[in-house]
Amino acid sequence: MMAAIIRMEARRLLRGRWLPLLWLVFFILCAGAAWNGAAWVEQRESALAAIQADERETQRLRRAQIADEITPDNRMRYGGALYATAMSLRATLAPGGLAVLTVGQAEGYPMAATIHAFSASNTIFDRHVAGMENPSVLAAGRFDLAFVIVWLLPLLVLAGSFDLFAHERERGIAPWLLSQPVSPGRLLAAKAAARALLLVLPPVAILLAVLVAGGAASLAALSMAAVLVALYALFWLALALLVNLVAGNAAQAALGCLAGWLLLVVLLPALALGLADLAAPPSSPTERVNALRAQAMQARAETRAAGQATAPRAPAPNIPDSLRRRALEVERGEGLIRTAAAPYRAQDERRLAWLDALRVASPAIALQDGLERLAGADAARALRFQDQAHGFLLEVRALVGRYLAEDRLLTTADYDAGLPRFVMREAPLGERAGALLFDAAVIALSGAALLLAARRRLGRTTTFTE
Amino acid sequence: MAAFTTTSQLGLVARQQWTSLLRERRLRLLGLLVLALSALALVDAAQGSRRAESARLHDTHAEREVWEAQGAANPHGAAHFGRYVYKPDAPLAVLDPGLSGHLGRALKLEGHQQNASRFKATDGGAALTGFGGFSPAFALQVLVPLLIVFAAFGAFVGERARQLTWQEIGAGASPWQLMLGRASAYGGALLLLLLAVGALAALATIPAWSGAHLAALGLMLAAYGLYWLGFLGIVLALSAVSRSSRGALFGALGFWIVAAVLAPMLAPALAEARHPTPSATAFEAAVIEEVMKGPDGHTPRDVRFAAFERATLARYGVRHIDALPINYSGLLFEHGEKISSDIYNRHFDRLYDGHAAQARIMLAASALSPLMALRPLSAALAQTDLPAHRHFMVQAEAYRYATVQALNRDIKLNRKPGNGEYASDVAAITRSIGFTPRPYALHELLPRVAAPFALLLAWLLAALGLMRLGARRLEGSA
Repeated sequence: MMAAIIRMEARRLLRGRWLPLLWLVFFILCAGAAWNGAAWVEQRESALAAIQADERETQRLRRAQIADEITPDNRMRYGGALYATAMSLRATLAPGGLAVLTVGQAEGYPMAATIHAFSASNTIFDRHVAGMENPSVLAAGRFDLAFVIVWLLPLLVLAGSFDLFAHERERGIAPWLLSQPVSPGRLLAAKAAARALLLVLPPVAILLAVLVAGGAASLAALSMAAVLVALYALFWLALALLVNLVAGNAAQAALGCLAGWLLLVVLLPALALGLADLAAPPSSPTERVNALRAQAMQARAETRAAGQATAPRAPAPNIPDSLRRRALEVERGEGLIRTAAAPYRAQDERRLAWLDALRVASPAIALQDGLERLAGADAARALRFQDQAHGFLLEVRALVGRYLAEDRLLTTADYDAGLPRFVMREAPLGERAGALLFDAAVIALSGAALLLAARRRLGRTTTFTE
Repeated sequence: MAAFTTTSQLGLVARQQWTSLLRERRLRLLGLLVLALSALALVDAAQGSRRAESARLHDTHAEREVWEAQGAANPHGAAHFGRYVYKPDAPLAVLDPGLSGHLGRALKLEGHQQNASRFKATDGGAALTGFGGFSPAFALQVLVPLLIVFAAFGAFVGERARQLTWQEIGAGASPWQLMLGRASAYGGALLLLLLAVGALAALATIPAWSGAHLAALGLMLAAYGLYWLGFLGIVLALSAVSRSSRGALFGALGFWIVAAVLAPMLAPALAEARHPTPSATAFEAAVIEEVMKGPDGHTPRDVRFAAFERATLARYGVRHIDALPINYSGLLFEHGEKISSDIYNRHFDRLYDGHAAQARIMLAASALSPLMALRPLSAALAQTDLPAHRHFMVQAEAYRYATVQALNRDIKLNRKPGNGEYASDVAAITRSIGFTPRPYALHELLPRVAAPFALLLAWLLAALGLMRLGARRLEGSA
């Protein structure tokens, strides 16, 4: 019986000309968003390639200086290239596997770091934080696949299911339908199942097709994207079902569905963000910069005071002692910076924990989070990169420290053997999967809560004659 | 006499519709909800603005202390260490934050380099922050039109509304009078909302009160009024031409989705695709290439510096730079700074030209959505748009250039050859150079808001035309 109702309902839906039109619109939106996303990924990759090319070019020039240009006569003027402090390195964060899905947080965090041994650790990202994009474009939000899915897919599902049962109630045929040998619950479940087949599966298939066409190859990531999007679409179907049990006619149901969309996609996230701002406001970056710069000044003053007693060595070492004094200043500064930055870092971590926890406020937030993680454009990955880039700076400093200790100059052989390279280590699979499963659970449980509410409502309303 | 009858009939219809609006409990609630949300957002924004201003004063003071803590330092090293300046909040940002969240609150000023502003409010977020917060402008630009849709889609459709319309026509009112009467009633409600928001915004910005401030606020409110009336006219016309309330609702909602959700998101993406601007990395690379190869692209820096050295020796009539009465490094820094600043200015001009071309496309999208005309207008009057930001950046650049060149001049005039490490009191050198950014005066903004105003007026006229068509349709169906 259920199968027959599903078939009948599906046939009825397919006869309406609007359904293929909805699929077409969704396909066009997805294709446009994927094209946009691919263009962004290309731009990001070319920016990263330019940063890496800059690193190679700097190293080539320094090597050429050592090989061809520095002579005992001009060493006083151009000799800097001989010291290990001349190592100029870059750390870059490549886009993730499904980067075409969403820009996510990628524009809110640095994509690279410039590593010079004596740079203060709080400044290594400075050259890579400020974008030149038109702020109007950023303020409008990127038109990417995540936007189409999180914001527009619900409208597609609601457009096809807002009158799931309200139509029958409006026409007065609900009592007749319910007089047939089928329970109200089964009837509604069958009608919802038909819509799930026609409003959930095709969009998921379209999304997968677009992602594959866009070059996505990871089966696991594609499967996870499909699961998240299907759960999300089913959530909106559950909302339409509940609204249909409350609304007396199709217009009321449409208003109810739209109000639900507005609440869950616009208002609740805004309120949740307000709550996060109240409970865990972000640290002030301007205050932090001043505090850290003050520490750098203090380190300089302390080092100068300590260095005044040191007499020039004879014979003079290969590397001037001023660089060793600078190394001490940098080390002292690093300690002071770490201490001064700790409260700001703790405040930011607390805020991120709040933002992370508040994804339970709406399935829309949970899905956005899941898609950002799949795209490798999430905050956790960006922070992981920052930590590793900082670790790389410390490694380079330790290496330079050895050169200073051994009074060893850089040679062309050092460049030929290859200077240290940054390699990003991704989070363990378990950690990434855990976060994605949490997002999926938020969406699934929200949908289950709606179904439970629908069931309770159904228990109270059995005749639908009002 | 005829005019009197027409006016009194119009008043009658408007009064009747007004009463019916007041009796509609759901609409009352929705209206109050929108007003409450706007008021809440305004209060929150006003508090945020006060906090931001006090943080700015604190940061400015702390930054000066850090700069002065350098004591005796190499002036060129100090130029690299750099200074920070902080952008003040525009008072009307409490009503429309515009692009503030994406513009950056501080700017690092240093030698050889012109930076973009940094520390955007949107930096360091998570998935939740991508949804954006709630601002009064969002309520006025997006939610009020939705309220108009909910309130007015059923003005002429549905059993009750149709019966009432027929009775009114039967009593002698013309369909156009009915249309104008309903528009007056809804318009009156919107006017009350506008006045309430205006009063709240004025109260939230008391410290900034001046003739120009209140005039800018008045212009903003007028623009919102035009926008809402245009929206209302279209929804009423759709209601008049629709056969069912469902059709009217879907038509009006469809228009809202296109005008308030899709167009504002798609137009910037389209504009960026049509007039792409360089990424920060490409921008920096282009500047560095020009610095290294010269503006003509064929004269390497070494060659240009050698020519400069020859010219300097000739000018002072000496044979070696050690014989110069000034320090040559300082002179070279000064010369190099002038060259790199010119290059940066040229590239920034090109970048902003690209942004302006994108803005023109976005404004052209107001053919699809009146919001695309309202947004730049509102942000321009609130001074939270890109031109206002550029105005700040240009002033900051003048300050940077003066500071860096003062430091270079000190080296040029005071460093003696063979002195070894040179140090000077950098705070004393730069103490006389101040930075007090000036916002745009109202008369400087007006030319920029004229076109969007005209477009909003065009929308209102088009809506009146559609209302006229809708009235004819009503006449036919009566």
